[in-house]
Formats: sequence, C-alpha cells, structure tokens
Amino acid sequence: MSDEMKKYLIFTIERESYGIPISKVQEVIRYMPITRLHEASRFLKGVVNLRGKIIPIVDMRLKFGLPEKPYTDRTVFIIVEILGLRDVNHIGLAVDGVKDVVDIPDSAINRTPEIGFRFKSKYLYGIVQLQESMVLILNLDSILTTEEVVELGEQVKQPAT
Amino acid sequence: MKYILIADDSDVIRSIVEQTLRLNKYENILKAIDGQDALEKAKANQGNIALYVLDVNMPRMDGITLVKELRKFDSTTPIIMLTTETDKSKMLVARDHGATGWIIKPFQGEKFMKIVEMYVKP
Amino acid sequence: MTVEKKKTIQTFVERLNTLLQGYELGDLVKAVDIQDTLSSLYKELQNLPRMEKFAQLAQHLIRVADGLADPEKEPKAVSLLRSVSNDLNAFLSGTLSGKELGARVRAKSGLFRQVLFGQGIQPVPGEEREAKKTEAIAPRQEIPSGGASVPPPSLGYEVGYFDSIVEDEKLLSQFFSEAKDHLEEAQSILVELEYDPTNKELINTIFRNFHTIKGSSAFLGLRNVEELSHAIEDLLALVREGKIFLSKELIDLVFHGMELLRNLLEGMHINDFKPQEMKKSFRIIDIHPYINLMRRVLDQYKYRKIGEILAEEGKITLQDLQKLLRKQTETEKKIGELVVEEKIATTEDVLDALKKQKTQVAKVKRLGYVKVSNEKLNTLIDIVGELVINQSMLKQELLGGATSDRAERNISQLETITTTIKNLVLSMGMTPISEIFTKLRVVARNTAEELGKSVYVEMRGEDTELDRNVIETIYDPLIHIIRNSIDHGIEPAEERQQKGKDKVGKILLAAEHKGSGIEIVIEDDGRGIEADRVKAKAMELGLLKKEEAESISIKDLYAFLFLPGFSTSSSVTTVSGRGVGLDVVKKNLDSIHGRVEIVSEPGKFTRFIIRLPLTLAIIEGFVTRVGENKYVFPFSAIEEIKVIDASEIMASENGSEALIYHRGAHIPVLKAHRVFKEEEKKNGERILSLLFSLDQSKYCVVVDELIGKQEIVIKNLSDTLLQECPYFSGGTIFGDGSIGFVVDMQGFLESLK
Repeated sequence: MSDEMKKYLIFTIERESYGIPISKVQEVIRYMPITRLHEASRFLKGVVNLRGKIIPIVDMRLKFGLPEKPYTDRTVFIIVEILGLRDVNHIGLAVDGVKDVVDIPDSAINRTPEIGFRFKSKYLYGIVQLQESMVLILNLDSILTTEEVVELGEQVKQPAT
Repeated sequence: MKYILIADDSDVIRSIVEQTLRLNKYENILKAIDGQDALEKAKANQGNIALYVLDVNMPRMDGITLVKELRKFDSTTPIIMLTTETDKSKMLVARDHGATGWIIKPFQGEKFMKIVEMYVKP
Repeated sequence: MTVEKKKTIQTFVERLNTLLQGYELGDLVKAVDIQDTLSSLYKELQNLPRMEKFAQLAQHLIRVADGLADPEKEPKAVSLLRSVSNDLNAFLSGTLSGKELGARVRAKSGLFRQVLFGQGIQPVPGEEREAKKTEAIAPRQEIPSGGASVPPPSLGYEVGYFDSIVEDEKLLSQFFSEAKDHLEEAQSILVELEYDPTNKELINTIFRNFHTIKGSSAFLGLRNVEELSHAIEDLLALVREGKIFLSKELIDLVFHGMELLRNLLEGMHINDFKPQEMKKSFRIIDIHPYINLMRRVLDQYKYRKIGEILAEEGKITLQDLQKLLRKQTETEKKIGELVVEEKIATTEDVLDALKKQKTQVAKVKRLGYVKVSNEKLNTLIDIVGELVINQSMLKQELLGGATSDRAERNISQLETITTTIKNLVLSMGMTPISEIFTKLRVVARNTAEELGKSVYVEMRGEDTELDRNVIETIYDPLIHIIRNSIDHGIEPAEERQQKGKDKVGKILLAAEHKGSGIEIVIEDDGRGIEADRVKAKAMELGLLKKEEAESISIKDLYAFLFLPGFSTSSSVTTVSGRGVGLDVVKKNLDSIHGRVEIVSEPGKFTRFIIRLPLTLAIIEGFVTRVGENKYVFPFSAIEEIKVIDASEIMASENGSEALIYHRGAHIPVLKAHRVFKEEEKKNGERILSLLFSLDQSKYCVVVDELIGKQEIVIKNLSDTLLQECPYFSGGTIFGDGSIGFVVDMQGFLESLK
C-alpha cells in the first residue's frame, strides 16, 4: 500500500476537528457580508461576491444538524471546489475557525467505518489521531452534493475508539 | 465491322452516346463502366476497335491512365476524351499520352456525330 | 460581288479567325466548327465570278482542316490555317491586294503539302471522304459550359430555363437513380471527411460524384441540377487541388447543396419524370441563393494569377496578357517567364507580383481560424463579465467622490474599451445558425421519407449568428417542430394535388435578428391548425369552458398546444408517437428565456415563431426588490407593469388566493415573497406588480420595489444552490457589487403549486 503524504486543512466546528484535502481548497477568506437566501433546508445561508463570482455559502454547523450560531469576525469561509453536474463549482464553507495545515500519511487514516456513527460512512473518508485530538477526514463531494442535512449527532462527541 | 468503345461511369452518358451512335447507324458498340473495365474490353477486342470514346473522370482507373495503358498495345486507334470545362486543363496531359482529341460535355449529338465521322464510317 | 455577299464572306472569315485564335490542340468540337465554317465559306465563293482562286483556296483549306482531327498533322494545320485566315482577313479589309494574297499563300505551299499529304489517321472503314458536305450552318449555338461565362439569373428562373429538359422519362429516371446513388456515396464520404478532411482518395471520389451528376444532368437539360452540382464541383475542385482546406463550414455547405439536389431529384421522382410536371416542382425550389452563397465563398478563396496582377498594376497591357496566355498554351513556360522573355515587364515587376500573390495565397489559406477550447472561451466570457462589473464598480466609486477631469476621461475611455472587449468576446461565442439548419434539413428529409411524403426545405438567414449554448438548446425543440410540421402539417401528395397545391410540400426555416434578440421561423404550407379541433380538445381536457370557447383569442387557444398531453392529431404515427410534445419544446425554450408563438391559417400554413435572446450570457432583465434582496425577472415574459390598488384585490373564500380582474380576465396575484421566502410587509394602498404572460395564463407577481430594466450579465450559480432554489436560473452582480438573483419563471410558478 502506498504511503503518500497528503496535506489536509484542519478546521473546527463546535470544538471538533475536521480535515479536508488541501487540494480541494481554493482559498480561505475572512467573514464577509452574505446576501442571504431564505430557502427551506436552511444550511444554504446565501451567497457572497468573491471577485465577481457568486459563491454560495454552506453553513457546516447547519449541514451537520448542529444549532445555529451567529457569525463573528472569527468565522471563516473555506472556498472549496467540488465536482458539479456540469462543471466545477465553488462553494464556501462557513466554519468556526481554521486550525492548521498538516501532512497526514494515508496509512495513518483509519478507513474502517466505526460502528455507532450516525455519520454515514459515505460522508466520512476516515479518522486520524493527531496528538491528543481526533480528526474526521471528510468526503466533501458527497457531503456537498447531498440535499439532506448530514447529521452528526451525539455520537461524534464520544466516538468508539 | 469494328467497334466503338465507350467508357463512362455514368449510365446516362453511356446511354446517350450509344443512342446517338445507333441513330446514325453505328451498330457495333462496346460499353465499359469504368477505366479498368474499358482496359479489359479493349484488350479482349484488340485490333477490332475503330474508336475509343473515354470519360476523363472514372472510378478504378481514370481516363488519362487508361489512355496511357491503351497506347501500350494500340498506338493508332483514335481516342476521343469526354471532358468538362473543369478538367480541360488535363487535356494537354491526355494528348501527351496519346489521346487524339477531346470534347467538352455536354455536347450536341450532331457535333458529336460529325466528330465521330472524322474517324469512323458506319 | 454584292455588298451583302461580301459581308457574308467577311462574317465567315471573321468567324474562322475567332475560332482559330481560341483553338486549343485536341478541341474536336472547334475542329468541326472550323471545318463547317470553311465549308460554308466555300459554298458562298463557289459560283462567284472572279472568285475562282479564292474558292479554290477555301477548298484546300477544308482539306487542311481535316488535318485537325489528326494529332500528327494538327499543329501544322492550325498554324497554317491561322496564318492563311489572317491573310484572308487582311485581304477582305483591303489592306492586302489579291496579288499579295496569292503570293503569301504560295509561299506556304510547302506547309500545305505537309498537311495534305502527310501520314496520318484515315477514317475507317471505307474510302476517304470527299470534301465536306456543304450544308448551311445552323445559327451557332452556345454550348452551355455551365461556367462563369453564362451568368445565371439572379432571381428565380428566367423564361425558358427549363425548356431544354429532354422528354425522355426513361433517361430521366435512369439519371434519377444514378444521381441518387452518387449522392448517397457522397453523403457517406462527406461524413468521413469530417474526420479525415485531407484524405485524397475520399476527395477524389466525392469530386467525381458531383462531376458525374453535373455531366449527366447537362445532357438531359436539367439546368438547375447542373448548375447546382457544378457549384459544388467547383468548390471540391479547389479542395482537390489543395487550394483550400475542407473545413467544417465548407462540409456543411456541401451538405446543404446536397439537400437541395435531393429536393430537385425528389421533384423529378414525385412527378413520374414527366418534364412538364417536373418543371412546376422545380420552380418552387430556388437554387440561386445557394449558388450565390457558393460563389461568395469561392471568391474568398480565389487568388489572382501572376498575369492578372501584372495587368492590374498596369505593368503589362491586357492585349499583352492575352497574347502571352495564348503563347503559354504552346509552351510549358510560366507567364512570369514569358513576360521577362518578351521583355514586356522587368524581372523586378514579376518578382513583386509573385510576392503579392504569395501573401494573397497565405491570406487565403490562413483565412481559417484559431481553435479555442470551449472551456477557455467560457472562462474568457466569464472573466470579461467580471471585467464589465468591476469597471462599472470602479466608475461608481470614482464618480462618487471628487475626481479630476483626467480621471473621468480615463474612466470613460476604460469603459469604451471594456464594452468593445465585451462585444468582441461575446461574438466569439457566436455560431451561425446554419450549423443546425443543415442538420434540420436532414431531419426533415428523413422524416418525410419515413412518412412517404415529399418535402422541400427552404432556408433563409442561415448565416445569422447566435450563442452556441442557445443553439444547443434550441436544436431539440426545432427538430420536434419540424417533425411535427411534416407529420401533422404537410399533407400527402395526392391530397395536396386535390387542393391545388404543389405535390412537394414546403418547409421554411428562417432566422433573423429582431431587436436585441433573434427570431426563428418554421413554417409549413400544409393543413394549418383548425381552431375548432383545438377548442374541442381543450374542452375535453377541461382546460376551456364552453362559455369561454367563443371569446377565446386565437393566441390563447394555440397556447393550449404547448401543454403536456395536448395533441389534436387523431392518428398516432411513428413520428409523433414518441412521447414528446410541444410542451417539451416550450420547456426547453423557457430555460433560455425564449418564447414561442404559433400563427396559422387553416388549409394554408402553420408558422412557429421563436424569439430568443442573442446570448445566454447577457439578458434583458427587469430588476426588482423583494424583501431584502434584488431579484431579476426576464423582461421578455413581462407584459406590463401593474400597480394594483388594494381595493381591487379579490380574495378567494379561504383567503389563500388573491385575484384581480384586469382587461376582462381574472388574474391570480402571486406574492414573490412566498417563493423567495422573504419577509412580507404589510400591504399598502398601492401594490407594485409585474404582469406576466406565460403559457396560456397571466399572472401578477407582487414585488416591493421596481428598480428597472437593465442588461444583466448572468453568472452561474452553483448546482448546490440551484438544487435548493429551482426558481433561479442564475445570479448577477450589479455595479455596486451587490448580488441579484435571476428568476426562472417556470420554476417560480412550479414552486407555488
């Protein structure tokens, strides 16, 4: 098995750490005013004008079924590229904060889906232990292309190790 | 009585030429549908052909190549090329290879017969 | 010798001169003409007093002319005839006396002998012919060469154009099947050439296809077929010679021509090859627009010869040029070499001309295109959109504060440049509609064949350009309409004949710029739409109440045809029975802000009129504010701005629906807030609304503020967003950097259901 090192961007929501491959990330921007949309699923907060491009902002807290929290100056938008129906789409993820960029070897990522996670395995690429904290590596494409709210629920906080 | 050999890939032109000849009492006519066919028929009837009437543009073997091939074994029989305004430029080459002359399509039957008469009597 | 006699003789000699000047070795028809002219001359001279010697000379010349039939003798015969005929001319014009003429002729006796008694071909079998029979010469008939020398009529067909068609049904039908075979072969070759445009063998074969059709049709007097195939042949000749590259555009052009040819052939077939009947069908198929188009295309590729360049620049005279050209036929030398050899122009002049020709050739060859990937082009269009927005933002920013004159000047200059770039880039994404028209013609023909009908497709404005993306979207709807027209519109041949129509049905495909958009028309000269049948069907489906049936407008009535499951056709055919209706047409067009309308006269025609925006990147939008955001409605769907007085609104019993009565109709009042989930403010006295006309219905859409009509640069909203909000078709960024949402009306209405 290959043991490639890949760079991951680690961000936090509600003190939990999540990782996404840096290759998917176009840039990280500070909070900017959102043109709000009021649609049903609610996690789609609205759009921002990023240098002439209209970028939808998905609130990851809402996407994960967590309670809404007002945005502050600390809120950041991670602009990611995901494969859409016709071409590459840019989407902004509103998260509580960005922590770090780290190198993680593929072998360090535990790919076995953990029983007891309500977090469906198709949204989860794997889990990795970094020093004291555990990081959930996300499968962004499937998270962002699904219409439903990806509920993390209680179990995330006490994963079976 | 010797034959007149007509080679043209167009059924219509073959028919017209044939009809015109028959109307003018030329009964011995050989027809070929392309250059290759014409060459084979010419070889099979060597010495029995009085005149060749050949289209320039034909499949399998074009008229110019056909002239070249015919002249390899028949240096005297007149060859009339049926050409068009577009292909007229090729006529110099055809003559170099031994074609006797050319007629631009379309032509009038009367003119055509006068030309044939210069070479063959019915 | 009487004056008239002299004139006749002079005419013959002049004719002889002309024939000889233009004579090319091997030209048998001209050889016969020369012989005939000499015979006539001899006949005139024969019994004239004191003309015995002249007559004798003519008799000799007849025998010399016989030598034209023999390649061995021919060159000598020609030069002898030329020289004597020049002498004769001089004699008749009085510059040469009879004595001098005699002397000159005698001086050529050696040549005479060579030509007359040399070895050569003799007519076989039988004895040598006597002097040619001296029949009267028929008035010289121009041999239709089909070349540029016979200018085709520019409009319709001249009188007698079809008179030369041979009355021989057998030959015509033979030609029909032969030409059909050739077209079939050409068709498959053309498809191959699209992938392998330089394949010599393919090019040769397809050239021969048209060459043969041209040749055969000319014999049968089918001038239209001849002209058409000749035009195509000319183009393919240039391709064959490697002078032009067989681009996609040219392939399409050939396809187009083939369709026309097929139509002509069909016109023969359907009339059982009866020339009188055929003519009628021929007349409605005008080939000249195509021929003219072809000529324009060919002109682009044609380049001038060295001689022409020199003559044009006055370096040599036209007479010199003609002389040189004549000389050129005898030698293998190039014109340039001859010019220098004859010291008519200097070497520098020739080199100069050569250089000019070269750049011209290069230009012609390079006239082509630079290939750009769709992706790059789309990115470019996108970025330019951003440029436009940024520039207007910058302008607002600068003009808001105190700026210097210079800054203002610069900014307006920047604006001009930006606009130019924008227009240029948008035009780069434009494609001529011929791209799909050509395909549609094939569809029409196939459909007609399937149904055993005969149809001729006429195209107009096929060089009209529009956005590639628009073209892609309208292709399917257009196919559907065309199939529909042939299936339901065009009657079978017998029925058409009974009605006094031409047996060949006609479909018109036209495109035209209208205002800021484009209008596409598909018209058939078939049955038309019977309003009563549409009414009956609409009532059957419960779409129309009996009492409304009388007063309903034709426009509203036809709108029913675009509803799903609505078909008045009593029979299901293979063509229409595919589960797609006009509703799909409408849906596709809606998605690109297009509109479709039907006009019809029963028994005469049905016309579909499609109006489209020129491009998808920029639309005419009406900007409004609803709640906290700006929303852009497609301007094309808005019928009027309606300010509703609160008292006008009638609520339904449960209060869920609001209606107003406007111009004799009850119109639902819809709050945009509900769709966009914006906060509703309390109704004031005056309610602002936009009155839309969609499908057969009208709607009032209530908004908070009317901002105005604007050109809107449409930005992609990501799929994620569109999935959540199907009532948007895109977004836009305004000059101040704020974002607006572009509304998709279909989605808007559906989300209210």
